[in-house]
Amino acid sequence: MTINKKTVEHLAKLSRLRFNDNELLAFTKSLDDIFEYAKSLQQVNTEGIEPSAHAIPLQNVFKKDEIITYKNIDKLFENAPDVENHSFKVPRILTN
Amino acid sequence: MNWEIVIGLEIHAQMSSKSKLTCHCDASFTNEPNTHICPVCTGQPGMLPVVNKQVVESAMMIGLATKCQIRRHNEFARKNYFYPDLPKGYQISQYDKPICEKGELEVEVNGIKRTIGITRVHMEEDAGKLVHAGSDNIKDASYSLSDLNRSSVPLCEIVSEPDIRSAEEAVAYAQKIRQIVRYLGVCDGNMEEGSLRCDANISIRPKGQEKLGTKTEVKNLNSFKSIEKAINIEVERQIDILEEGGEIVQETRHYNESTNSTKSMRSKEDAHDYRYFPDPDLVPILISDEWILKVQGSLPELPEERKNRYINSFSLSGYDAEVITAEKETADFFETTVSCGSKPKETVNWIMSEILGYLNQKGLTLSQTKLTPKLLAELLLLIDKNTISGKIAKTILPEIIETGEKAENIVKNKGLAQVSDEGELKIIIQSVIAENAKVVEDIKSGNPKAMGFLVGQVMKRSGGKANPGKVNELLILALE
Amino acid sequence: MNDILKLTAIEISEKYKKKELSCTEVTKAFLARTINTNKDLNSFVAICEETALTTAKTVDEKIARSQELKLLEGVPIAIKDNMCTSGVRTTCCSKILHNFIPSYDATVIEKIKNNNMPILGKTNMDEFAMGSSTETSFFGSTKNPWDTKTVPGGSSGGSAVAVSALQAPLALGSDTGGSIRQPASFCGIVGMKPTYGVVSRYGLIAFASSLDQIGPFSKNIDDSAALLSVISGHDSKDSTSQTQIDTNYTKLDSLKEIKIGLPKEFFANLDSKTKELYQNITNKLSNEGIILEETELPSLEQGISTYYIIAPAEASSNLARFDGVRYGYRNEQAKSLVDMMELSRSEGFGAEVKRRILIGTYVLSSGYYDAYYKKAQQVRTIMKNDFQKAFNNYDVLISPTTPTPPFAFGSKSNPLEMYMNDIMTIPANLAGIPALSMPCGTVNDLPMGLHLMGNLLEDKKLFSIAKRIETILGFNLQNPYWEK
Repeated sequence: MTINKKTVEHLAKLSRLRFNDNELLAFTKSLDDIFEYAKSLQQVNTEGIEPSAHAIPLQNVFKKDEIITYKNIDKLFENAPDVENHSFKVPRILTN
Repeated sequence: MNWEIVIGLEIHAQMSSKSKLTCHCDASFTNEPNTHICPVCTGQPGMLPVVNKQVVESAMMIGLATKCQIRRHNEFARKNYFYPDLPKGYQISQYDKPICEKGELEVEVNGIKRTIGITRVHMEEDAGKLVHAGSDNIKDASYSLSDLNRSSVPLCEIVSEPDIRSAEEAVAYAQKIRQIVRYLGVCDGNMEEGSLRCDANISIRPKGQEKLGTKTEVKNLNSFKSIEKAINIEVERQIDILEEGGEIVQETRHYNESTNSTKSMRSKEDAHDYRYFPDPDLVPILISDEWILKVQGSLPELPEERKNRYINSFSLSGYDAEVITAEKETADFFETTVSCGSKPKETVNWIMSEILGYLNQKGLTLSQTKLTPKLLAELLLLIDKNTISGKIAKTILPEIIETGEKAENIVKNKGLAQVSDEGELKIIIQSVIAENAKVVEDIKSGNPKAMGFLVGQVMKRSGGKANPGKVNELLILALE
Repeated sequence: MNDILKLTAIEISEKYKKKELSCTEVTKAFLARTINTNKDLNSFVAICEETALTTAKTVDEKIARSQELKLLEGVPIAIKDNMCTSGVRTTCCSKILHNFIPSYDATVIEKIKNNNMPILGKTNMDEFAMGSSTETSFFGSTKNPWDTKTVPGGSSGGSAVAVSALQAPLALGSDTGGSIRQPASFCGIVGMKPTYGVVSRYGLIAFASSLDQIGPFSKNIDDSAALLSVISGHDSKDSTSQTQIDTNYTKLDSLKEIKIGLPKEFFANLDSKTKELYQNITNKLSNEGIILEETELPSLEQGISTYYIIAPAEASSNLARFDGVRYGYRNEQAKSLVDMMELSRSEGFGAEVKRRILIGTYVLSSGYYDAYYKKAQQVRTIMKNDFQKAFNNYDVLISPTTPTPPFAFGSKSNPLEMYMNDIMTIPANLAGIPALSMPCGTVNDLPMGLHLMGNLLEDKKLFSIAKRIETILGFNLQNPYWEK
């Protein structure tokens, strides 16, 4: 077995997800299946092979250093769940 | 036990580009929340970053100025973590392929020069700012407000090797970095507004031991003073723990300036694993020799070079050259003043004591006043030509600074020109001698110090305008 | 049924030029069809009747003034709901974005609007484009018009059905591992994934940035090439956008000699009926003088493993922005920040999305990065090299688009089994090469697709060869739903 319940709990924490026991069990099972399958990758000889982070070789794409003011800032706030003082409001960060 | 202190500094310098790192928003500081934002820097769905070329060149400049190697193939990576001031849920940064590596910087403390290694210089975007409501303390805040003006503002992180051995050295290193980025014009170095921020990795080990001790990372060092105080207090804390047989916990600690103490920032909710990987939205940066040469060619003269030039061409002492080049603005002012005909040594003295003294007192910088190098040179030339005394010059300096009026005009209007006319001076001297018979007696009985008193009296009576050399000469004659 | 609905996009364009049809008439016909059939098929999650008709009116004024029309001007189109449309709800068919209204258009939408193509609405999809059946949509699954008990494929199932069921003459989808080509195959139409970077991703809500590419759905190859001509082009807002693109795909070349490779890895595990179908096709093609040869690309066998590491890795990071802070669903009961983020994300994302976030988080986490993520990136390089070698010998590579015809709803409850559906389409995304699926026959009365892969930036050559094959095979698009 590659993946156990504890691993999934840790991954959930890292990715800000929360599961009940049934979900934990189900995800543990399906992740384990998937990584069992993906084991075949380890048989490929990749010595000296550069990893590809991109599909195509592009480089040095830049923008000019100029200010363009965005005109629809108010519209951005229309989608916000909670706004105060033109800022995005979030519940208390630390709990005692 | 005899402990050795081991410090590495991480300095975040905000690049002074007009626009942000990955979008076209204004990168400048503002207090109005969420006014410098757009869909890209607020992490709206579907938005993509494009890198600001200016920032890449600024980073190259910092690297070249600190003797770094420029990495020919460097790339941006994502640093993944959740926080309400981080709109995309990741920070665009550089990880295993930073733009600059393996540099060094020489610092001098108490006459001892040491070389501090620079591990890397990399580009990254800043996060936003959180305002904690109901309290300035995050712990007691009932809720927080996220302001994304700073989100995606470009930063360069300059990471030193753990080569620093004292708080003073750390300050000297940080000052030197600040001086360099200001000379390069890539960062304004304003620590109060957060344009330059510093974290210190601190550990201690018994003298002679090679293995590094467990380090703590101390954050929130917003001034040179707090760098020094925070390091000293953290070192003290670590020594106390180890000498009592305890162990240092590797953690991040927050420095509190008002209590002068560091406090653990650990929180049980934190699971740290940033899962860096190359940002698939951004393409690699390939830097050619031509590009490096071009940037190299655009580098301004750096403080060290300028200092040496001043020693050689203006015959300044090492000390004078050092202080006058500390800030580029001052050095530029000095150099222009000298080019207007003033003597270098006198110019340094005047700038460092009189002018900076005045500015400090008023909380101003040179550029905020009406003083120009030409005005200063003219003032100094008046002293040189014995038109006015140094003392008079000092009294009219504030007026020049405030009004931008030529020294010559002020002297003329106020009748402050120096009196060297012997006849006029002899009359004053006679009356001073007559009124101070006891002092004259003193001098004659062999106390030359009393002479100064008489000179002072003559000067006073002349309204400071008498030529002090002449007064001295005539007094001696009169007393013989 | 209104005969307008059966017209191809280019036929509609020609009728505008000859003033035989008005854009309003055409737009109304498709809108009516969409409104009437959507309850049944659930292919649209939003219908934009008013704005579509406003655009149509603009076009009609141009027609009335005999002004020259741009390419596909006035031809209605349906848009997958992961492309941002200013002022129109854009949800990725996820609860977490159920109320999100962008204030900006994706670059493709700007181009569609610039050519006055009436946007009929936003189409259903697997949540965040993660799926191969459109079953993971927050708004319920979409039905396949060939047989409403079977899935339309995914993730762009809604767009494929829109074209297949005559709700729209054209549609846009996005393809990360086959999400255009597989549903095109399942619905018996043409779906094309261009070379990576030919179409801007700006405004496409990202699934896996290095694999995502927007592309056209259409009834035939000519329409597909025309639509790609409209939406392609360099975009300075997308750093991964190709800089050198010839954006005119409409004048297809007629190739003298066509040499096609058949990767044997893709023909290995087919059932007998499917095998027979493709045997007949290759026979027909070689009878027409096309050279076909069996070839080997061993790395293709690692496609699924490679893809299901890279795509989730990128997705886990791309989906971190959905945290309930600035837009989208938020759990309002949460008392602390961490509660708010965890509950919003746990309630806002569906199971498949969560699974991919977990997979991606795992392969990037410390201790596993080299063994999984880096390894997959290296295999990706090997696969690219394999393709380059193959394209030294062949103009295109062909295979079935999917191993099987459309499957029944709920029949692939095991995620890995579902992932296997993408085995033939995934490699093109990993290598960035252009690929398309075109209808080529049926198995058990359900459509099958022929999958063509071309060399990087040879999108036009791919179309040219596909067009030749289309002429040879002469597939009849009509499905049972046309009569409804």
